[in-house]
Amino acid sequence: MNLLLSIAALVLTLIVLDTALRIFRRWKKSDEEERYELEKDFYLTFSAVVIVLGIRLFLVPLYFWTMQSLIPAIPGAMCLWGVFNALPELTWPALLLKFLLPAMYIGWLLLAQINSECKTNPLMRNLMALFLLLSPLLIIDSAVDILIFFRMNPVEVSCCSNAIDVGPRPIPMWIGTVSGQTLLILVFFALSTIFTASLILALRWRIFEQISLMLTLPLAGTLVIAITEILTPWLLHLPFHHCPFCLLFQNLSSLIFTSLFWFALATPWIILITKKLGRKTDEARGIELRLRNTTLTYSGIAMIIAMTIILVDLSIAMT
Amino acid sequence: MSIRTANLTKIYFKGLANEVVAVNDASIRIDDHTFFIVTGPSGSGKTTLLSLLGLLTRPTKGKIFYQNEEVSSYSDAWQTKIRKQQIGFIFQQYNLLPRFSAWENASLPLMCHNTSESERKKQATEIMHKLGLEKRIEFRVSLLSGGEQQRVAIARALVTNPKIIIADEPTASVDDETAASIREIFKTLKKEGKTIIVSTHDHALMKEGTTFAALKNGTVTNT
Repeated sequence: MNLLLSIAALVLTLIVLDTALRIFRRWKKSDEEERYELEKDFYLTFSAVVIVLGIRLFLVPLYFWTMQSLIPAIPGAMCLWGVFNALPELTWPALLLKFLLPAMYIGWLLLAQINSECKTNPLMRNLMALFLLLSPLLIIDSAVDILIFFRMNPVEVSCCSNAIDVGPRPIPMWIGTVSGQTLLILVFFALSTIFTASLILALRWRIFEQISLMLTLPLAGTLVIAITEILTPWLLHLPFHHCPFCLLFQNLSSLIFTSLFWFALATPWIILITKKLGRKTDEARGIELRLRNTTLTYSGIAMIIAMTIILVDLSIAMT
Repeated sequence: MSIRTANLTKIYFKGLANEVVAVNDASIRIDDHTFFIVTGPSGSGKTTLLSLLGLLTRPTKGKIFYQNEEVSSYSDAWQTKIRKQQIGFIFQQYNLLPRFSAWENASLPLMCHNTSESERKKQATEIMHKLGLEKRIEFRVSLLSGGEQQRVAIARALVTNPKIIIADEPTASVDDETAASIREIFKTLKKEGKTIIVSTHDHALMKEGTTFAALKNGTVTNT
């Protein structure tokens, strides 16, 4: 299914590229009649792009699920870590794309929503421009998925315990100590709290929008370190195990809080896209602001839920 | 609902040898509750002007305003919304679906309003009673006479209670008796305060008009 959907997404992307380019080039110069013709083309293109982006978003969880199902077929693999290392030149870039691209896809879909709520299609050109910009990434995203399933072989790999737990990880040694772990968890919660506060305060003051954007990368880094160094060993009750994939697939709540964190961390970037491309007219600006506030509210709530889950999980694990 | 146009032009096959200027630089004003009559010989651009005013066709140049809001540049989706909510169309050739019954045809616009079938039938039946079609409700429209078909088409235009009625030669394809009954319907609509735009050659119907526009070769010669 993963393979079929990836092929469908790739083919659809290639089919609509030409129309998207034509709409982008002609829209500004067109008179009312040509605009109407372009608009009719746009509806078809729009539907195709929504399907492509929908497929790509649906493929994110499906990708992990499919890779998980390959564990028994890869000798030595105990979790996703092993499967990924059976074809590392493709699986790791694919993983990175799965985390980064959905934010852009959601950004495009929100822009499309703003455009459809406006009376005069003010964002038509920007939508096509963003799609043209996204299309190489969409093609790569789909092509990588397709290649993985054609080139994945049952080669022998080392399991996550051998690869991550033995030998030095790219983490300072002091983090492994009690004081190091305490400091890390404090920094993690402090950053998370500041980030959550900035998301909520951004509803009123614009400066916090910039602050939340700046905080996304340090918080994402801290989250990864916190997951590998603290949450995995504690929540799995395996003091020397640090594989995040083992945590994600053995502990349901970790899957939930990671997804919530992803959504919250993606929000400032999604807002950046809609802000830069979605404020062409006063009408669009009003709709963009409404959507922005809704997204910020939901991501603030997502952060609060995610932090609560972590706190509850940790307190249960420590008692 | 007032309608205004500014330098409205529609050219078919623009730039080609067979280019046709159907409407040329038309600036007209149709006030609220007006019975607006468009006259002119065949091929003068009456149907095109009506299509432009009803947002069924895009102008090549010029603008259309509804209540001083420029709607000609609206997206197709928004123009559809306006058509759905504000305008009822009556076409010269009825444009009915022959395999459907009279009430199903009359209630078609309500489907776009997500109205339930029972409610659609109720509303369509109500309007068909007013138009003297109570005995034809369940009939397939292909079995109805021309006059009855035209009245079903009128019922379809009125079923959503639109503010604007646009009718393209509504009495052209019917006999004198039916034409008289259709004129009566328009008189009633005029009394109800609808904005009515009609293209016609029917002198009796023209008498009902409050504002007029005469078209010749796409140009408005007299308003």
